Amino acid sequence: MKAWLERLVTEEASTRSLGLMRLLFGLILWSRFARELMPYRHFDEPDRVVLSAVFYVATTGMVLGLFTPVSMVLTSATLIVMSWGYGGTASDPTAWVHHHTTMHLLCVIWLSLTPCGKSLSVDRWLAVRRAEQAGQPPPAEVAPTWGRHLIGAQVATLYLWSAVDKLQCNYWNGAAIEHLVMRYYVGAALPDVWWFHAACAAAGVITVVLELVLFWGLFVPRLQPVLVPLGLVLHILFYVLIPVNTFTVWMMTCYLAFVHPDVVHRAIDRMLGRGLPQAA
Amino acid sequence: MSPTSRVVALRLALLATLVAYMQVGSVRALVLNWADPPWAKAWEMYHGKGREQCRLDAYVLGEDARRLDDWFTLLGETRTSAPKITSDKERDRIGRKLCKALPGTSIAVVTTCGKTGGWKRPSPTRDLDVCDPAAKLRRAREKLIETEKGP
Repeated sequence: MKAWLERLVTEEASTRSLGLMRLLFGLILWSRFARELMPYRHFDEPDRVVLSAVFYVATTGMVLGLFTPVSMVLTSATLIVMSWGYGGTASDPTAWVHHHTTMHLLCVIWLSLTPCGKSLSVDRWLAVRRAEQAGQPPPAEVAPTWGRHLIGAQVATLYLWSAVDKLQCNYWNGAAIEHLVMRYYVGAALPDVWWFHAACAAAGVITVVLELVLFWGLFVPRLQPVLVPLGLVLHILFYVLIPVNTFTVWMMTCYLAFVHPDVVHRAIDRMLGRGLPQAA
Repeated sequence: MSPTSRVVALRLALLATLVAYMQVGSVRALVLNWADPPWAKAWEMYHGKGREQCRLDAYVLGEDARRLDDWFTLLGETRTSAPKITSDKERDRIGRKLCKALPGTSIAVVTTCGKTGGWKRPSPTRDLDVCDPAAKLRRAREKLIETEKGP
């Protein structure tokens, strides 16, 4: 146990998966918040204009991987102010305290505690150039990556409590799913046939069971080949069936935290054809 | 260079503290039934969403009594464009539209609305003719008389 805990926080591995998460998280943040933070929307509120400016500067640094530690801290601080300070926009005062945006905020904070700028970043490009000028080999993309476990724990926390909540809401009897079907699809014309009720109950049971299994199973490497695709399919279904917006792609990105960083590194190498015989 | 045991202890303490923090909002809301503040959000995803919606069943009353299975087609709608009903007022409005679609017919409309984790009792309107404006008044008068008579 002691050795396992020690390895958990001391292991050094490739930083590419952290870099990939940084890049994707930044792009998703633009997709989710950029429209609401366009300065012209709040031109009569100087504080919101400042908020917009800081958001754009910080997230640009985050996506590019430029002054990455500073950009990550600044992005985290901006999201904290948006969520815990403002809470939302004039048209939707609670938009930024939603579960989905809270997930965005927390994951960015946890990622800012990692060396996510050491790969796939301008910082990396500059480091390689410095090494070239000094006649040295490029610096290794290796660093302590224990911070990724925070993102894994955040995802597991979400699955655990979401399942507990669904159990408290009797998801197993299908009623909660039928309420969603009425809200988003059929209004008051809910079909009153046995197979429909059975399908809704089955969907409720499968969702809860899968969330309870994903909560711990994603940490088990042997189960990942089965559970990662199942989890991805679950989130794709959420995306297609109910309005979850950027939540699905965010969760998919978070799954990188469960895969060993060296596996991701090798996969990227393989995609680039590195380490393989080159054609003449 | 491997980190010292102090660094290892500090990292483990930070990891444990932050993982504990992740649980705060959900424990507050789901175990203790307290409010979840923005700084400690409970993971109640789609909690009770849609429970305000009601299913509508429509019936023809009288000698030709039957259930109107696809009542929304009488309003020129499909199942996916059927109106949403969240109140008695909306139920009666849809009922009156059905009366217009089937003139000279007595129609009853019953709603079954959602609640967290299940369904409320159906509305007590199974035998109330929504096409007869005086029916509601008559029923209220009958109830009043029954109440005055006592058990």
